[in-house]
Amino acid sequence: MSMAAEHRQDRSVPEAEFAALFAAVRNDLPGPAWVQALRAEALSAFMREGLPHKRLERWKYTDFRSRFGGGLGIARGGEGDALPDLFDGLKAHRVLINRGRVERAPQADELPDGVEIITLADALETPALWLRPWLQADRSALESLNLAFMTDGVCIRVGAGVRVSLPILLHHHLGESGLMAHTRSVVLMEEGSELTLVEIDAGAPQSQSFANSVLAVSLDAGARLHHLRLGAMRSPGLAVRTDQAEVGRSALYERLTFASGAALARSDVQVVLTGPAATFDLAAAYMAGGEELNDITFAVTHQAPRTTSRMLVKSVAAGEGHAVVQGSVTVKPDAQKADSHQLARGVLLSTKAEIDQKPELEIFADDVKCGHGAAIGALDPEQMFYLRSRGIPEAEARSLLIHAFVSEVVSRLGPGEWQSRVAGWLDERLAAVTGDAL
Amino acid sequence: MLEIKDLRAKVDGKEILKGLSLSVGEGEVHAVMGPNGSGKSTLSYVLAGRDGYDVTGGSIRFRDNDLLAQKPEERAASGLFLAMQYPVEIPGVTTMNFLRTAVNEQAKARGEPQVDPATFLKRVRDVAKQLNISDAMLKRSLNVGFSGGEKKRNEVLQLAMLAPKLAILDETDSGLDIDALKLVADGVNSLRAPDRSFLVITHYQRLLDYIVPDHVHVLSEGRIVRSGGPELARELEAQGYERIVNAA
Ligand SMILES: Nc1ncnc2c1ncn2[C@@H]1O[C@H](COP(=O)(O)OP(=O)(O)OP(=O)(O)O)[C@@H](O)[C@H]1O
Ligand SMILES: [Mg+2]
Repeated sequence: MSMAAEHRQDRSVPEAEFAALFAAVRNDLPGPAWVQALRAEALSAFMREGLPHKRLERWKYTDFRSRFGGGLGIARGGEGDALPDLFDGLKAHRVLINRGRVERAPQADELPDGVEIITLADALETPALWLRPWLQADRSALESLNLAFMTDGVCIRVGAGVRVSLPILLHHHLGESGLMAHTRSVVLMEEGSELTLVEIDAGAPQSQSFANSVLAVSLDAGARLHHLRLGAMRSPGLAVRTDQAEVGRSALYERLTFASGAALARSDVQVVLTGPAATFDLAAAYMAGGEELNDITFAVTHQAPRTTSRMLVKSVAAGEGHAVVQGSVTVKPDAQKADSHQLARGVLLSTKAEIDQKPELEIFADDVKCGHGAAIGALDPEQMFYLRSRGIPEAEARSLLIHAFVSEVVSRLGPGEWQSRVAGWLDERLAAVTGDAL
Repeated sequence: MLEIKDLRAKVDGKEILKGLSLSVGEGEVHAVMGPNGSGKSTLSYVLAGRDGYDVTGGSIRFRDNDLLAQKPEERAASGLFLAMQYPVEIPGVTTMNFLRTAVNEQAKARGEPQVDPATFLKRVRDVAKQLNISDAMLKRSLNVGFSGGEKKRNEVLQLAMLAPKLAILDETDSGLDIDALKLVADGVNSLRAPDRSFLVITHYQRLLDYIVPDHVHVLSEGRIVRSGGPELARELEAQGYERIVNAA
C-alpha cells in the first residue's frame, strides 16, 4: 500500500464510524418517515464533507478533526440527577436538556399566555410543516451531523406583542464521558415580542464528550431578543454551537457570550438582517487557558436598508490556550445606509498561547458606514509597573488588568442577581486562566 | 532613610546614571533639579524598580533594606512612593478600586489588617475634596481622559492614601495651574512629618516657594554636581543651569 493510500484510509476512520453508528441507532431516533429521510440526506452530506479540518477556510485555525478522538456513543437521555446550574434559585422558565434529552421543561400552564415551549422530539412527531424550514444544515458538516443524529431540543414560540418578564433558561448538560449530544432548538418570536433567553452549556466529563448543538432564531418585525450565553463545558469536553438568526424589520438581536474551559469550544453564529432597521449587537469574552481552544466565528449579512451590526469580541489566551475570532460582514446591494462595526481585541498571557483574529468585510452597496478593527498584544508593561509601584503584587496586577480588559463586555451585563452569578463564574475562570499564565 | 552610593544605571545599553550619590534623612525634604535629559526620571524609576533600568554599579539602602533586591511592590509596601512624571492610563480599572486594592495589598504585605470599607471611602472622599478631585473622577477609569493637571492631582491623592515613608515627586508641578499648584503643595505640606521624607524633582522655583526644601541638589549628566540649601534653587532660577554646572 502506498503512503498516500494509507493516509487516506486513516483519515476516513472517524467518518466511517459515524456511518456505522447511524445504521445502528437510526430506528431509535425520533421523527416520522420524512424526518428519517432528512436524517439520511444529512448523513450523506456529512460523509461527503467529513469532519471539519484546517484546510477549510472557516476552520483554518480550529482543526476539529485532529482534536476529535472518536469512539463516542449517542446520548439519548437516561436517568439523571437533578442538576443545579449556575443560576440555581433564580426565577426563570427552566429547561434542562441533559444527555441530549429534554429532562425538564415548563408545563403550558406555567408559562405566560402567548408563550409555547415544546420539545423537539414531540415537534418532530407532529405532522405540521412549520418546523421544516428549521431543519436545515448548510453551515458545516457538524450541522449536518447534528441533523442526522438530533435527539431533542426545544421549540420556543413567543406570540405577537408578548413580553416575557422572566427569562427562559436553557441548560444544556453533558457530563458523561464518551458521549455525543446532538440537540437542536428553535426560537420564534412574533411581531413586537420580547424575551430574555439565557443559555448555559455545561458538563465536566472525565474523558472526551462532544456537545453539538444548533439553534435557529427568527425575529419578526419589532421583536427583541436578549440572549445571554455561557459556554461552560469543561475540558476534555468539546462543545460546538451552530446558531442562525434572521432578524426582521426594526427587530433587535442582542447577544452576550462568555466562554471558557472546554478542550474545544466553537461558536458559529450566522445572522441575517432581513428587514429594514434590524439590529444585531454582539459582545463576547473568551478565555482559553491550558490547552483549550476557544473559537467564535460569525457571519453577518446586511440584506435590508438601515440595518446595524455591532460586534465586540475580547479574548484572553494563557498557557497553551488558543483563541480564534473570525468575523465576516457582508452588505448586500439593497442594504443602503447599513452601519456595521466589528472590533476584536486579544491579550496573550504567555509565549505559547495563540490568538488568531480575522475580520472580513464585503460591501456591495455604496452608501454604508462599515469598519473593523483588530489588535492583539501582551499586557502593557507600563500599566503593570504602575500598579506594582503602588504595592499591588504582580499576580494581582495581572488579574486586575485582565478584568479591566474584559470589563467592557462584562459591563453589558448590567446590575442584578443573574449578572452577579455570571460575574462570579467569570472571576473563577479568569483566576484559572491567569494562574496558567505564570 | 535613603542612602544612594555611587549609583550607575543603563537604559537600552546607554549609561544614564554615572556614579550618583545622595543621602536623605528622616523628615527631610530634598529637591533635585537639573536640565532635561540629565537623568532625574531615570533615578526615580530605578528607585521604584521599573524593568529595563539596568543597575550596573553602586548601592541603595532604604530603611535598612537593600532596595535593589526588592520587587516594585515590596518597595512600595516598605514605604516608597513615586508620583510619576507621566501617570499611566488604565482603562477598565476605576480610580476608587485601584486605590482600595493598593491600600489593602500594602496592608497585607505589612501584616496589617485590611482597612474598613466605610472608613476608607470617607478618607478617600476627604482627601479628594482637598485636592479638588470630584466623586465622578474617582468612579472613572484610572487617569483615562484626565487632563494633565488632573493626573498630577490624582498622583497626590494616591500619595496621601498610601502614606509612604519616602515620596518621590517627579515633576508633579508641571502641567498644574496656579490654583492646583497651591492645592498640591498644601496637600504635600500637610503630609510632612518627622518620619516622612520627600524627594522633589522639579524645574521650577515656584513649587519650592510652597514646599520649602531642606536641601537642593543639581543633577547633571547622571551625577549630583552641586548641593546646597534653598538658596541654590533661587540661584539656578536666576542664572540657569549652564553656569552652575560648568562651575561645578
Ligand atoms: N527607554 C529609554 N531608551 C533610551 N534612552 C532613554 C530611555 N529612557 C530615558 N532615556 C534617556 O535617558 C536620559 C535621561 O532621561 P530622563 O528621563 O531620566 O531625564 P530627566 O532628567 O527626567 O529629563 P526631563 O527634565 O526632561 O524630565 C535621556 O537622554 C533620555 O533620552
Ligand atoms: Mg523626567
